[in-house]
This record gives sequence, structure tokens and C-alpha cells, in this order.
Amino acid sequence: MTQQDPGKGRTVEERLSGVAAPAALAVPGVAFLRPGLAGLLRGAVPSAMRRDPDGRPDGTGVRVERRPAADAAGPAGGWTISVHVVLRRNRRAVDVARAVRIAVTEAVVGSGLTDTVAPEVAVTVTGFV
Amino acid sequence: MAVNANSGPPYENVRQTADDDEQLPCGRLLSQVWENWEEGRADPHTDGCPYCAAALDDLRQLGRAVEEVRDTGFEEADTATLTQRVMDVVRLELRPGRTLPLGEPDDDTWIIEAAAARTLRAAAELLPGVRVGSCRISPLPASADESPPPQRGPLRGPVRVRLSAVVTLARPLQETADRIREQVREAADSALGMGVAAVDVTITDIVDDAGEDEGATWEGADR
Repeated sequence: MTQQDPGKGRTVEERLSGVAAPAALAVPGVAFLRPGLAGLLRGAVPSAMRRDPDGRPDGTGVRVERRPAADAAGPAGGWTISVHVVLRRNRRAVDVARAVRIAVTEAVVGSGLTDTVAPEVAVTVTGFV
Repeated sequence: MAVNANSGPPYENVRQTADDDEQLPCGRLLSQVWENWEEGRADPHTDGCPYCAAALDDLRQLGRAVEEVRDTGFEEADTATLTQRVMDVVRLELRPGRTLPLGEPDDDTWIIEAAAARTLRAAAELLPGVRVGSCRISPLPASADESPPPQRGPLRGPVRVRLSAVVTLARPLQETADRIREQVREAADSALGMGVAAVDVTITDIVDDAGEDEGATWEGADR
């Protein structure tokens, strides 16, 4: 379900992505957001072949979802942000992944887009270059 | 399980699976088009094919992107060609596979099995004479007396690594298996930050230094 912000052309989800993605990319040790490389394969790979681990069509390296109001596992109506990253090999993977979580959380909270409610942020390392 | 000595180098076939290869709309395998180009092999089909041309264009672009971010200071026996490196990343992006927990149980950080497996495989292959075949990583089921996991989704405990390898007889097999185990644990800890509960090593073949088959199988489980 998307919310249209009447003042802008983009949905809240898109704006959250727009905040989360650069924050993740700025973390030392992050090379790309998925699909950093596959996304560059314009004609070579049919886009129908791109699926994320849940089998959904792959969009960007950041997926933003609104938690359903009746979800018992977290605050009602909060946001869940999933970030997929490809890392460089110069740092321990878990340290970079944790730093991405922190960076994205801070960027989202700081943007005010979620009324300063901290989102749930999950980071998945999808590869190394 | 002995590998027939006439089928080529003993460990040549253990790596890539056929369904890993992406196929262009014209029928050519993406990896084949790239490798032909990189090795200077002419292919009349490729010269006239818009799909192949786009794929090669993308390879050059990908190559530049990878070179820009690759950390050239990393000490790794870097025998993979640029094409292989790029294909590795692309393949993982297109078919991610299972996710595994990274870090502590209350972290929300994950890693794709294939990415972790590559790191562990590379670590084991730093040992002389060791070539890793399969490397599978799986979460261990929670024991009955543990409280439910704090969050939804997959289990976040330490994992089990199951690895098969072809080795030489430079050292006794038990010692080689133990060293492989050490390499795997060390890499899981220092390169990934992934908790490993058990490492099972199966030695599927033994070769001598010249690469000829000695024809034996040995299995050892982590206690």
C-alpha cells in the first residue's frame, strides 16, 4: 500500500528509499547496493529473471514496506527497510552490515519521513567484489 | 568415490553447475560470450548479434565498475579473471539463494549462503594441495528447550558448514581435514563474523602433486 504525498511526485516509500540508499552506500566497505551490477545489464538479462530471495521481482537494493497495523512483532504501522549490499573485502562483513543498519536508521529517523519512529532495518550481504 | 583420471584435471568439474549460467535471448550463454571476448576467440555469431554486443558492452562497463571499487590491497591469491569475478557477483545477484545469519542472534544482519561459501572456500584453498568442491552452510535447528527466537524469520544461531575437498597426501588426511576446519572457522570469524557450530569435511578424492588420481574416499566429521 503506498501513500501519495500531495506536495511531491514521489511516494513515501520512494522517498524513504532515496534516503536509505545513499546512507548505505556511504558506509565504508560497501561497494554496491544490489542489483549494483546486474542492474547494469540492460539488454543481456531479461528483467523477469531477476528475483530477490523471496521470489519477488528485484527493484533496487533497498526495499521499503509498511508493517500491517495488526502485526504483533513490531509497532503498528511502522516501516521495514531491507537493504541488500555487495561489500568490498577490506572489512569484516558483519561490521559493515551493522554500520549500514545504523547509518540507514539514522538517516531515516533524521529525515522525519517516519515521524521519527525508528524503522526496522535488515541488511543482507549478497556478495563481495 | 574415485574420479576417472581420463576426465581431465580431477577438480575441474566440481565448481560450476549448468543452471548457474545465464542465457541471452539469442541462445548464447552470457558467460561464454564474455569469456570468448576476454580470450580473443572470434565468434561470427557474436559479431552480428545485438544481444551479444549489448552483453559485451555491459561487461566493459561492469569491469570498470568493479575495478573502481575493488580493494587492490587485499592479499588474496587472485587467480580469478575479471570475467569470473564479475560473473560471480552477477550470478549471486540474479539467483541469491538462502540467507544465513551474520553476527549475534539479536542482529538483523544476514548474508547469502553463496557469498559466505565463497569466502570459506577461498580460505580453505589457501592450504597447499586443497581444492574445495561443494561448500554448503545451513542453520542448525533450535534445540527443544530454547525460548522462541526474538524476531520473525529464519533462525539466527551458529551454522553448520559442510565442505568437500580434493587433497594431496602432503600431510596425513586427518591433519589436512583439521587444517581445513581451522581455515574455515578462522575465515568465518575474521572475514565474515558468522558463528560456526560445526564444520564437516569430506575428502572426496586424493591426488598426487602431479594431479593424478589416487582413488580413495575419506570422511571426517567435526566432534
